[in-house]
Amino acid sequence: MKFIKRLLLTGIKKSPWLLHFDCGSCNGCDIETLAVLTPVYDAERFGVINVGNPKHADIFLVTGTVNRKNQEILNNLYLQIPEPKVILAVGTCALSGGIFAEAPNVIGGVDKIIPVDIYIPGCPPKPEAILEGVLKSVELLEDKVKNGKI
Amino acid sequence: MDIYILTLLSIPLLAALLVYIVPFSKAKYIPILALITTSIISIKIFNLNNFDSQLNLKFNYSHLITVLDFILLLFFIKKGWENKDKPILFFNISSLLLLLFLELKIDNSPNFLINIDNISQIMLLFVNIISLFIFIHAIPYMQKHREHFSLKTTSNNNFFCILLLFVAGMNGLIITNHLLHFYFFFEITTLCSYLLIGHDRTQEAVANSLLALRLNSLGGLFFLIGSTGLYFIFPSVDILKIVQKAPVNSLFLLFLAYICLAGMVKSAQLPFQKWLLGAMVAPTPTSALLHSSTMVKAGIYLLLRFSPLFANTFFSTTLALCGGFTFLATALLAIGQDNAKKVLAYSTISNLGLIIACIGINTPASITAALILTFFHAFNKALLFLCIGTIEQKIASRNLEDMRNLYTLMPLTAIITVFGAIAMILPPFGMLLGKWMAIESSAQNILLVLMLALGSAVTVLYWARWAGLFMGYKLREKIKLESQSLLTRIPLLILLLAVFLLPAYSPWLYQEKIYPFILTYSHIWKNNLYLLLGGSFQNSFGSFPLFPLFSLAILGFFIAHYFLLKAKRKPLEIPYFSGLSIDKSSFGYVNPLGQRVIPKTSNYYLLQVIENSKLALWIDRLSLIFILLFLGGGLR
Amino acid sequence: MPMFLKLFLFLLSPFAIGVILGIDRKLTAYLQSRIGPPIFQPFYDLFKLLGKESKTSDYWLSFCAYVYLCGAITCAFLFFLQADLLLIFFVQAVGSIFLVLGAFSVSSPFSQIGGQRELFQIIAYEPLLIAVIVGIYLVTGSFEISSIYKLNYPLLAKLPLLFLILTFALTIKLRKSPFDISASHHAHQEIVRGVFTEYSGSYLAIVELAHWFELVFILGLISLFWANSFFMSTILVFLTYFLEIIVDNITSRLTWRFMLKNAWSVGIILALINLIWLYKG
Repeated sequence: MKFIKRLLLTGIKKSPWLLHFDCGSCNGCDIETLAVLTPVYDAERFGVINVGNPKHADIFLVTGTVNRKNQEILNNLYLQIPEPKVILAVGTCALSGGIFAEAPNVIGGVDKIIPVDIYIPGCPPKPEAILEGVLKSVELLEDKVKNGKI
Repeated sequence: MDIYILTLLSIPLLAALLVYIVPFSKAKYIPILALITTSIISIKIFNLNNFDSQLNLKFNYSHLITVLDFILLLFFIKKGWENKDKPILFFNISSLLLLLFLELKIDNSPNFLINIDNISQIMLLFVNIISLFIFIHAIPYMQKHREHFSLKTTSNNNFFCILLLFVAGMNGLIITNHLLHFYFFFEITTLCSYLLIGHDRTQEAVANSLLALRLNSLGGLFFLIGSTGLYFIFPSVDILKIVQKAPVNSLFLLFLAYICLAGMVKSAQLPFQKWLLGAMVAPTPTSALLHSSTMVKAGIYLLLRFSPLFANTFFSTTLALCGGFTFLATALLAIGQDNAKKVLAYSTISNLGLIIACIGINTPASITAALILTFFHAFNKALLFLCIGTIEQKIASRNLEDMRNLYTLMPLTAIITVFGAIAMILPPFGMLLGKWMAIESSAQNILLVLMLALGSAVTVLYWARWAGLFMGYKLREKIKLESQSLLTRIPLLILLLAVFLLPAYSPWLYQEKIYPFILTYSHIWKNNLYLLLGGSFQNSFGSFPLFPLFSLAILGFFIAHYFLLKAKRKPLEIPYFSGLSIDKSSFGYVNPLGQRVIPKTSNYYLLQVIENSKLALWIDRLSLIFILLFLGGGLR
Repeated sequence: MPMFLKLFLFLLSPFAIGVILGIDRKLTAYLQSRIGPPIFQPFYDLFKLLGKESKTSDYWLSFCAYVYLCGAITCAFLFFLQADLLLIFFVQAVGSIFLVLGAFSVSSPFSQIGGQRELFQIIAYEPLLIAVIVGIYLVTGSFEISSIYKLNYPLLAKLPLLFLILTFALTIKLRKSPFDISASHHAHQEIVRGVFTEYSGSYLAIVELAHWFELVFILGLISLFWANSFFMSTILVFLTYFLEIIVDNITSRLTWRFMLKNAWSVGIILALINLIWLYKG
């Protein structure tokens, strides 16, 4: 068990796979998020891969506000990500609901539904900020492994 | 020995008579007792090593058989007349005339009537044992079947009576050495097949039974044309003598081709495949016994008996091409089928094609392949048919798509079916051992080997799909073992064990039965015999380490099973469906109308490509060309 | 070759494959003018997946994953024992079939469709590989690998078209563009991961490891085409793999119809031509 844990520790530092979920954003944050994966910022040099499947993901990156229709989907995706995992809220809307906060169908920020580990503010945040958030979350993942949360 | 043979024929006949007379509720176990006896005898015969293969019988029953033969043909003619079916009339009247002509000429001296060699030992063994299990399975099946179709109470008596008659006929066919007696038993199987397909008396069943009768009568006619021709060139009806002494010239091969053609009709090779597909309307025990594991093997057996005659000829190569083409074409047609029994039927035809291709290659290695395939195919197909029969009665459908997630409903049967399908395509099981031998021995013939390569890939496609279908199950539903009659469960379990453990026995089967058989014709089959070294088949160009692979497979199974048990400690999660779910246990969504929508998937049946009647038409045409090539293959 | 050396090479082979896959990703990144992950990235991914929690959506999934691994290891091991090529090929089929069965056992449409497509990939490359193996037999007169090492000329000289077909089959087997139909390797072109969708955590790691062992067989098959010189066979493997990466990067996914049609028509015709050369030559 200890051996596997050490393997995981080496692995998780270098290979955080990321699931990006657009939870009703205006697409501004998504464009910036995807920019992180392009050759200019090249997130893959840190081992980050944008996967399309929660069952393979380590980092859950959410953009946009949560509304009544998709809160369940957000929750399901969260539950389907295997431990250890880190949740990243990107952009003002994901943090608090942003300018949509008062709308009748909007519940608010992502943390109303699922526990968020790292908040990246901005409307939209710069790609550098998102990249830094991802790297911060790698440290968090490491902590989670060290504290025995697997 | 005499007494063994007498019982092999008479016990099933006596039992048939008894079943016909006594009410079914009382006669239930008579067939089983009869078959246990014949199985024991066949095992005893199988264990004999040194015996006089050609028996000198004291009594001569040739005249009896001659009379019965005419009665049989008259019965067929009557059926043809009643149903106004011109082909049946034509085929049988011609057969009648030819037979009359032949009977006047031949001598019926009793000293060569029976011949038991190693292949007949193998055939006797599996025919009797498989019949036993199919009969056991048939008892609860036919009871339900009768209730479901609301047939007359005597219908089951008839059914078991005919099945027993068939077993007797098949035993006779295997041990006889007289060409015309062989023809008689050949026609007995035709009769049984005809009666059993029409058993339910529905419109479809009657039509299909007539189709079967039509094509098999044609096969019988072919047989008689062939034997008349052979008799004029080499005046003897002693099969063994013909095989050993007959002069192989072009005219002889032409008539031999007719005999082979009769075998191919019986084995439902292209373009005569239609009757076997139609035969799938029959109750499952019929399909399992006649149309997959035993009767269709009669054609193979016929070809095997004559195979030393045409070794190393172009004729043989054309036979192999016919077989190879059937293997590929029917495997392709099987992809387009969603009817489980039809898939099994196509797969049967396809595997028989492979066996015929092996006989056509006609080297020691390929004959070994043919025998191994025949042996294991019989067990494997019987198992799969019984599984489908059991499932069909439970869910009242033969459609494969209805059997999705069957694990939820009947876990044991589903798993047995999955393993049966896996044993068809993967090493180290018997079918793959045979296929490996087949491809290695056909490698000299480029066209054939490419057909086999393509066909084997397609076979993998439809079996893997088949196995995958049964494995799924619905979440959070408590899965408990289905309740079924012990008479249903025991045959399934025993056949499963046979399919899984018999491959480990194949080295002995080879060493004790197949190898001596090949050695008897060592002047024809010389090179590259398989030798057994430490449980692995080896010849000069390949080796199949059966025992090491078998032990690795067992090891792998237990490793995987350990992790399966480990995984079972955790609860199941819902599968990924874009995060949508109805509740905690099922994925899917509620649509704007408030209806629950659960996505369904189905197999690709490639309907645009495969079910296209154009493709079927072209396959028929091409197969006719191959048959024509084969007919004239000996002319030179 | 002495036995212990074979065993040593066998144990080393998955590491070599891991490094090759790492170089693959690095090169791909280079072709897209990125920096790309470190060379040992495939190992990091594997380690991480091994340690992660696995979400089981069907218990059979774990069974199938481990059978896949066992089958692939046996296949690679038999290759190093220089056993019968056709047999190794059939053992390889065990693994790939069980991968599909695992995908089929879950009723999620993504994994079902992935499984169906993987089956099409299998029937596209299987006949091609059998044709290649038969071609090798016609040259050496035996299906055993050891007989190839006895030749004093490279197989490539006699089987140029079959080598081409082998690379075709390799592309399908590696699930590289344009034949990344059942699942593309890093999900760059795809929403979910096809046949791998439901394999998560350690199961995905097992499947990935099994895939490495399968690659040992396929790349080994390529190395056999220049078997009489160790140096040249290594070069051949690397060159072929480099070409694979180039093709991967300059093409996009095609439909399975295209793949099947071409594998069965062009592939088989080329194989036939090459076999006729051998047969009559």
